[in-house]
Amino acid sequence: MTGRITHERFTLERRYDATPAQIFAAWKDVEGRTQWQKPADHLHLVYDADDFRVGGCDISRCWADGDANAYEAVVVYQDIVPDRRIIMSESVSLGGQRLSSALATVEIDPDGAGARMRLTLQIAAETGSDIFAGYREGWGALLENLVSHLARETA
Amino acid sequence: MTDRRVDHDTFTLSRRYEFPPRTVFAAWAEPAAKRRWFAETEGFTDIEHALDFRVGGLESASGRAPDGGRFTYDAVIHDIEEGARIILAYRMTMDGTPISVSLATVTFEADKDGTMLTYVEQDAFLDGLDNAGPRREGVAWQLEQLALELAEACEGVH
Repeated sequence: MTGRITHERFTLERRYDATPAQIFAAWKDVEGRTQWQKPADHLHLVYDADDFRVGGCDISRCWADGDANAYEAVVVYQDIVPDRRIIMSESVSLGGQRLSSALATVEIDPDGAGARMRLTLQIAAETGSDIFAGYREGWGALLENLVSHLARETA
Repeated sequence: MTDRRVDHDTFTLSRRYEFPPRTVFAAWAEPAAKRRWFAETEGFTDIEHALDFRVGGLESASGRAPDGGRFTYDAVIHDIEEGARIILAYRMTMDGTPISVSLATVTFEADKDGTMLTYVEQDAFLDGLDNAGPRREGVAWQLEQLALELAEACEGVH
């Protein structure tokens, strides 16, 4: 018998010197995501499936050299409004053990010559609340990665 | 440009049933049972329902409300622990327009001879088209229908 499920919600926000269309494209393009959605440079990120449309499903694996097990993420696209909004549900496992399920809402708003992106995570953790810090840290790193990714894409 | 907005919210419902967890869980897992208490909403017409109960499996339901509006529900099951837990994500539309995306966590715990069911829903309500008040009422009504379904299904064995 497993323990109770713990729930959490948090929001991260950042401004980019890029248009809403450029930010949206960074989510839509799986090649680009393979670069900026790695939380750290030494990690490997591979997509086994990708299907960016409502009801479509991505499957990806992330690991470091020497790791016995990879993190596996299954993402289902729930709502897509071009250049404005993406909502995904996801489940994350480690070596076949389920860690968490979550909703991720991405909202993109024009802001002067750039745009703001707001990411809201609503998490249900199967294995305790320790994972919430990892979510914050991981997504915080991705939001920073997106700065240099957009700079390259828009150069 | 349409006024886009997302309202995030959470609600929790708890309900006790006079049947063991395996019996209550089965009413969520068996398509015919789930259709009766979940999809056959009073007053709705043109009801359709399909359930493929496995991790990664899909569930869909739709129907026409008494005022004529057509609602659809499309879910994907993210996690199952037999007899103990279901986590699913679902989106709803009204007349083709998305109104919400939700993550529902359902847990089943033995409580003496019965089951304590806890339902936690984390919601993203879209463009002001729905909110947690009516959603909570809707789910509470379904959990009441589940009690009636269990009572009827088990009449034969008492």
